[in-house]
Amino acid sequence: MASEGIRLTNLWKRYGEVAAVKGINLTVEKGEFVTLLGPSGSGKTTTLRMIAGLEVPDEGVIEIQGRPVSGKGKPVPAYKRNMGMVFQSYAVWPHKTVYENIAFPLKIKNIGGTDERKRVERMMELVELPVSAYAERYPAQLSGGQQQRVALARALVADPDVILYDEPLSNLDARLRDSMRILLRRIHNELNVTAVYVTHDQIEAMVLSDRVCVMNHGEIIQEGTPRELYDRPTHLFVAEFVGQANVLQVELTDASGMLRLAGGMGLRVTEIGDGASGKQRNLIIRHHQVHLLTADDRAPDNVFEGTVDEADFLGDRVRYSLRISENCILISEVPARPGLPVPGDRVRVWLPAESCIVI
Amino acid sequence: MAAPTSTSARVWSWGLLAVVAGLVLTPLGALLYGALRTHSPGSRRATWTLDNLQSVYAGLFDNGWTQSATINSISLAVPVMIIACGLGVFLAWAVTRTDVYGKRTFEMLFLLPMLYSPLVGVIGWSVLADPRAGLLNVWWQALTGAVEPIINIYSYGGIIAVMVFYFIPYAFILNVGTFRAMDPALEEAAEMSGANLWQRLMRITVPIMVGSIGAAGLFIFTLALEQFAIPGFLGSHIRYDTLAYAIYQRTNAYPSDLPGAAAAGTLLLIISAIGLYWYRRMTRSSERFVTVTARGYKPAVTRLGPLRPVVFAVCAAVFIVGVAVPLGAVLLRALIPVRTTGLTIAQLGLQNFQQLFVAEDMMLGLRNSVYLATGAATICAVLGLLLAYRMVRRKSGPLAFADYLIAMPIGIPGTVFGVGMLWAYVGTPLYLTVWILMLAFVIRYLVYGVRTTSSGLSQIDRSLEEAATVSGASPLRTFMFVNMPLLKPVLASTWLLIFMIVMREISTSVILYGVKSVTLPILTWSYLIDGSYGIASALAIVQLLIVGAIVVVFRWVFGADVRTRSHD
Repeated sequence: MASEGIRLTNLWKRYGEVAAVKGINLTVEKGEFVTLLGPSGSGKTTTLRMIAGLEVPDEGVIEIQGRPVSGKGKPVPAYKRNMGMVFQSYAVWPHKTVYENIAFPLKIKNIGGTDERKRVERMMELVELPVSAYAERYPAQLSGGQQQRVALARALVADPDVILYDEPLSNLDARLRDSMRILLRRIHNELNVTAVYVTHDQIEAMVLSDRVCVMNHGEIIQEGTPRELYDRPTHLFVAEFVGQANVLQVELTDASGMLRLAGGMGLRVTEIGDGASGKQRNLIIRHHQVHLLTADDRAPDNVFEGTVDEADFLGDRVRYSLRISENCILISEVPARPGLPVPGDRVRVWLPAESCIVI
Repeated sequence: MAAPTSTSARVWSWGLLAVVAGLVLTPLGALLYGALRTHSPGSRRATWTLDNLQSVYAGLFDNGWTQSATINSISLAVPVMIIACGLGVFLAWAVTRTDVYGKRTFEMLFLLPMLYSPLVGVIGWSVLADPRAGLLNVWWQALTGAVEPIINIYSYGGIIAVMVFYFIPYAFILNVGTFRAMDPALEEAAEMSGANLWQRLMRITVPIMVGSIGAAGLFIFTLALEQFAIPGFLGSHIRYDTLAYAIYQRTNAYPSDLPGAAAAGTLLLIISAIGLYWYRRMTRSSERFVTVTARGYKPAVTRLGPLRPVVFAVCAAVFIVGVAVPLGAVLLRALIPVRTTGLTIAQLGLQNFQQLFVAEDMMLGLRNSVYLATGAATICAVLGLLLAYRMVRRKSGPLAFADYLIAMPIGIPGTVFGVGMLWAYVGTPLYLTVWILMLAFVIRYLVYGVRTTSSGLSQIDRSLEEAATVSGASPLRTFMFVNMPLLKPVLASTWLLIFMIVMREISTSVILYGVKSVTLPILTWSYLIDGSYGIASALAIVQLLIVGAIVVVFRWVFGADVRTRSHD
C-alpha cells in the first residue's frame, strides 16, 4: 500500500516487570497528522521512541512506507530510518550556529554547496526565522521558541519520510505555545510529511491533529478525529481527559432511552452507547451543555430543580456548582451576563437529551 | 538579601580575612624569601642574593640543573595528560552514556585508585616488571628462555604508564558529571539526523564536551607536574629526575640546599600556575556548553550494538591492568616474607605484617597518619562549615577575598608547598613535629571544606531558615535544627575526602617530616627506597584497608560519597 506512512503491529515494550506499551496497533496514512494523547506514564513517548528507533520493541512490527524497520529481519538503526524528530528539550547543539544546526542532516547526507544553502534558507523562512538576522547566531543567543524553530527546521530539512514530535511545546510559555501550534499546523499543510505527535495537552491534540489516539496504561483506548473524541467518547477516561465533563452514575430502566439518576429522578437520552453491558452506566455531560433556565423558558424534557452551591466568575463565563439532590452535584458553565443566579438561589437545570452521552 | 552589616560582623569578616591571609601567604612569602637567601635558615652567614634564582632560571637555557628536570617534568606531564584524559573520558562516556555491561560496577571500580597512595602502582609494577627480579620478567624468561626482560618499568614508557593509571580516576570523575548533565537528546537529535555512532561522537558529543575534557586534562597536567613519588622512585633507577623530585633531593641531600629548593620551587609554581590558569578558562567555557535543565533526564543510552563487547573489553582491560594487577602484585608481595624469585604457595605468610606491628617506627607512623588524617579532616570540615556559612549567607568584600585566598594552596605543587612551610616555620617549635604537618594539611585542604559545604549550603533554600526563625528559633537553634541535618551528608563527604587525601599524602610530608613525625606513606616510601618491598607492600595494604574501612562505614552511616569532591 503506497499510501501507508507508518504501521505498528502488536507493539510491546517492557521495562523489567512493567509493560510500558501493551500491544499497540496503529496505522498512519501518508501525510496524516496523528497525535498520541495521554497522561504521563501512558506509554505515548515510548511508542514514539520505538518508531524513531531510539528504543527497541520487545515484540511487534514497525513498518515505514511498507518497509519493515523493526520486528522483521535486521532492525534498521535510527540513523538510517530517514525521519526527523523534534524534542521537548529542543536539543539544539550549543556549539553550532543556527545555520550549522539546520544544515547538519544535509552534511551527513553529503549534500553541500548551493543546494545545502538553498534548502537551509528555505527551512528558515518556513519556520519564520529571518536568515540575515539568525543564521550566524548561537543557540545561547536564542529564546526557547526560537530554538524550537531551529529544531523544527533541522528535523524537516532533509526531506524525512516521517516527522516525530516529542512534546515539543511543553517547555514553552502559554502565549508562545499558541503561535507555535499555528505554525506547526501551517507547515504540515504545506509539506504534508507524515507526522506523529506526542502530548498530554488536549488542546494541542485538538488543534493540530487529523486523528487523535488517546492512550492510557500502555494501550490506545480510543482513536478518532478530535470531534469524535469530544462528542462521542466511548470510555470514561476519554470523556474526562478530552474536555471537561460531569459524570453521573445512572441505571437503565428500559431500552428506549429512559434512565434513572441516583436520586431516583428519571432522564431521557437519545442514544445509549453499546460499549458496556448491564444496567449500571455512566452519564456524561459537558459542563457547557448543562443549561440554566429562566422563569419563562420552556424545555421539552430533562428539567430538574436545584440550588446554587457555588458560583465562580471566570471572566467570559461563570462556573456553577448546582445541587440537584442530596448526592448529585452538576457543574455548569454559562456565558457571563447580568442577572445570573447567585449562591443560595433556586434554579431550573436543563440537560438536553441529545447532549447526554451514556457509556 | 543584603543583611545589615553590624560592626561585629565587620570585625568578624576582617578578622577571618587576616587569619586566612596569614596562614596562606606565609609559606608563599617564605618560599620567595628562601629563594633570595644565600644559606639555609638560621645560618649566620646568610645574606640576600639573586644567585639561586639566576641559576634556576638562566640554567633553563644554559644547561643548568633545572633544565633537564624541567624538560623531564613536562615530557612526562604532557603525554600523561593526553593518555589519562583520553582513557578517562572514554570510560566516563562508557559508564554514563552507553549500554555496556556492568556500568555501575565499573563506576565503583574505576574510582578505587583514589583510595590508595600512588606508591601502590609503584610497588606493584616494580614487583612485576623490575628488569631483573620482576615476576613477569622472571616468568617470561623461564617460559621462553629469553635473556632480555619483556617489560622494564624503570623507563620513560614505564613511568608514563604507571602515572596514567594513577590519574585515570581523576579524568574519569571530572567528566562523569558533565556527561550526566549533558542532555541525551543532543545525541539523539544527531542520530535522527542520520549520523552514525562515530559521527555523533566526533561532531556532537566531543565538541560539546571539549571544555570539560580540556579542564580535566589541564588539571591532570598540574597533578602530573607535582607528582613526586611515581617518577621519583621509578626514575631514580635511570637518573630520570623531575623538577618535583629534584626539589626533594635538594632538601634531602647532605648538605641540603634549601635556598636552591625554594628557587626551583618558584619555577615549578609558575609552570603549574600556567596550567591552572588555562584550567579555569576551560571550566568556564564548559559551563557555557552544557545545558542543565531542572527536569530529570531519562537514562537514555547509546546502544553500542556489535561494539558492546569491545567497549566492555576496554573497560575491563583498564581495570585489570591499571588496578587489579598492581594491587594484586602488592598483596602478593606483602605475603612473601623474603626476597625470592621462586614462588610457592607454602612460602606465603603474614610475617611482613607481623613485623609491622612490632616495629616501633611503624606503630608510630600508623598513629601519626591516623591522628593527622582525623585531625585535619575534622578541623577542615568544622572551619570550612563556619567559613562557608558566613560566605554563603552574607557576602562581603573581605570574605570574598578570603575565599579566593583559601583556594590558592591547592594550586601549589606539594613539594613546593612543603619547602615554603619549611622556610616559614623552621625556627619555631613546630618544626619536625606532627604539628607542622597538621598545619600544612589544614592550610592546603581547607578549600575542600569550604567549597563542598558552601555548595551544599547554597542548595538549602533560605526560606527553610526563615521558617524556623519565624517559628521563634534563635539563630543557633536554627543552624542546629535546619542546616546541620541537611548538611550532614555533605560534611561527612568532606571529612572523608580530606581523610583519604591525608592518609595517602606524600609530597608535602616528605619535605616536612622528622623522626617523631613519620607517616604511613613516608614509611612506605623509605622502605621502598631501601629495597624492602615486602614491608612497603604490607604498609600500603594497611593504608588501603584503613581508608577502605572508613569509606565503607561512612557510606553506610552518613550516605557520604567521595564523588561530591570539589574540582577547584
